[in-house]
Amino acid sequence: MHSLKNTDLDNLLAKLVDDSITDEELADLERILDGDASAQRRYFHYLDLHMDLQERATRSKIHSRARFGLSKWKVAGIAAMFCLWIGFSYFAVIEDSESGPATFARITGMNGLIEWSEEEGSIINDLSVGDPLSDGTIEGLTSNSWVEIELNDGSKAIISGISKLKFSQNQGSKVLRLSQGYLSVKAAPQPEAKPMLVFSPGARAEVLGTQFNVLASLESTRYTVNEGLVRVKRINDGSVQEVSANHYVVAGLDSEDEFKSILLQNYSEEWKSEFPRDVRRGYLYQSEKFTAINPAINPAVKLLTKFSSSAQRLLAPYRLRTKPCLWFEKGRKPELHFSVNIGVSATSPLPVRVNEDAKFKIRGRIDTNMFGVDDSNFIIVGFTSTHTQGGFSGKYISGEKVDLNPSEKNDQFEVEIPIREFLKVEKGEYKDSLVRDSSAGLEILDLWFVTYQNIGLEIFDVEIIVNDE
Amino acid sequence: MDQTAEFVRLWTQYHRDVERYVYSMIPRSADAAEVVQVVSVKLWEKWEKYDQERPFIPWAMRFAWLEILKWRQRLAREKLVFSDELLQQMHSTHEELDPMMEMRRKFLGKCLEKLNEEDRKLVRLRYGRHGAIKEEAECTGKKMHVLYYALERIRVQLLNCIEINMNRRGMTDA
Repeated sequence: MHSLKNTDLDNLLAKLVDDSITDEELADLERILDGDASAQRRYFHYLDLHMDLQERATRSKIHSRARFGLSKWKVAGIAAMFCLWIGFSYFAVIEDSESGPATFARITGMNGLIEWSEEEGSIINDLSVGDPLSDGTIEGLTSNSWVEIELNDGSKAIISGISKLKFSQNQGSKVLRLSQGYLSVKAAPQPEAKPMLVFSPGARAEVLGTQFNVLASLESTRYTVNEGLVRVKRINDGSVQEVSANHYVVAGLDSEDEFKSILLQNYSEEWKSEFPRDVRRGYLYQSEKFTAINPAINPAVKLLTKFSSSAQRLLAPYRLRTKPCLWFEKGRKPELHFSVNIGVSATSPLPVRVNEDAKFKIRGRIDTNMFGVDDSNFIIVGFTSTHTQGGFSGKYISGEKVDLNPSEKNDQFEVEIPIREFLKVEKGEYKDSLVRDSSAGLEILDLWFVTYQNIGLEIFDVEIIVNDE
Repeated sequence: MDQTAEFVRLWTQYHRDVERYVYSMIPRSADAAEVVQVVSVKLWEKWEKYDQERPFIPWAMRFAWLEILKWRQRLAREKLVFSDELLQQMHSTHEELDPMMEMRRKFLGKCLEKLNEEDRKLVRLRYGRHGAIKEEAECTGKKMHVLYYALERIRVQLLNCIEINMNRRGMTDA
């Protein structure tokens, strides 16, 4: 018999799994569970049911669609699980649909970890060139991921790096929704009454036939047009810009600046990181200095940060600490590393291009307890580059040994690395090789730091400065 | 067998159990996902010391439990979902329940078949993708809370169905 107590408990559990529970209700839930084994069993059964519903069909779908046998799924699945967690709530659906949805596009090229979520919910990790795609979401899971898709009308779309793009069709119009990352589109001519629609944070664009790139962060989108014309609407105030060839426009979620297209010659060669805006991976901590200086206003500012990115900056400086990542790649030994990823062009309002005389200036700290153990002061710094006209160009890396003097108990460091010391990574089947290849003129999408021991690396800030000596 | 491949095989097979356990102890998806990620790294680091004659799950769960405790130590008290005492109770209850859970999951498939088409659709929407319930509410003109209430009812219906099947076979965890 379903008791009144169970009804209350089930109600709270429903709110818990649907993420709508309040703090007061959580306290109620604790009271019901405390000392009551029967209620605790109900709790476990309820949450287990919830997770089972999330997992069931995904599991069966992936297995039924595996084309490369279990090993490839293992590799891709495990890598995705370990390193780029997509959240429990992304797993999905209950049963196979009886008739498959209409094919919308086809994969024509890819690299790295790519994940496809069908509209009905199943998630597929074992994609390959030639695979048909229906309505759904395609996601690049790693910095070196890219995938090229050809739509049925001949339009081509490429996403690069950590990116997420949803495809659908609405009354004959193709709809692309880029929630984050980098998208490059060469749109075939579209019917005038049914333009291709592109949605992204802060903006909506209409496209009739053109080549353009979209770079979306959580707070804004930059549209760069190389051919033709794209009509971009800034969502927060409805202002519209016709962006022509060799121009770009930036639409921010809460921007009140004049909304106008800018000649593509405008770009930056110098840059300074700004947290939390530029954080793409890592644990973000806030310095306690602010609290120490003025503890009275700290709670107020903290509250404001929920609503305003400007207030977030008041609480700076931040520290971005590495996260662990266990990486499996087919044919290679598993690799444990600790990394952070920082957006450059990916999150900055202005494109950032490489000047061959530029250098990175990095400030941070490492755990002095680890200092001197093996290569504990060895840090790999890398950046992802894209061509200014769109498309993934390559990854560049450089190793840096951090000098600390343990006797001074100073755990902080500041290093400068000339950009010409970075080498390009050439992907091999079993191992990568490094080649000297200039990155001058390329756009820097993001920047990352990797250590192979948990030395508690924290990045305070990074600057790209042009060496004018 | 290659040791790396063996680790991958076992983790692939059992990581869902670890996820479920961590999520029930830390019922916030993002936090639970972080902890599972750390657990996976710990397991790999300690893999050389794992005695492969012994079952994987208890070994993995032990690390998961320790990581849950560590995660809680790092958080401010007001942000914790359960008190330390309650968490210990829950941990004990989970150990008692664990052997029965797999059987319950097997019955879920049958119970889902018994749902009517409308309820199945609602479950599919809820667990299919983000925003689908909201879209359904907009399309049908139904209020969101009505749909979520229906989901609550469906979950209870499924739990009851599983319970009946367990009882019929004389299996009970009470």
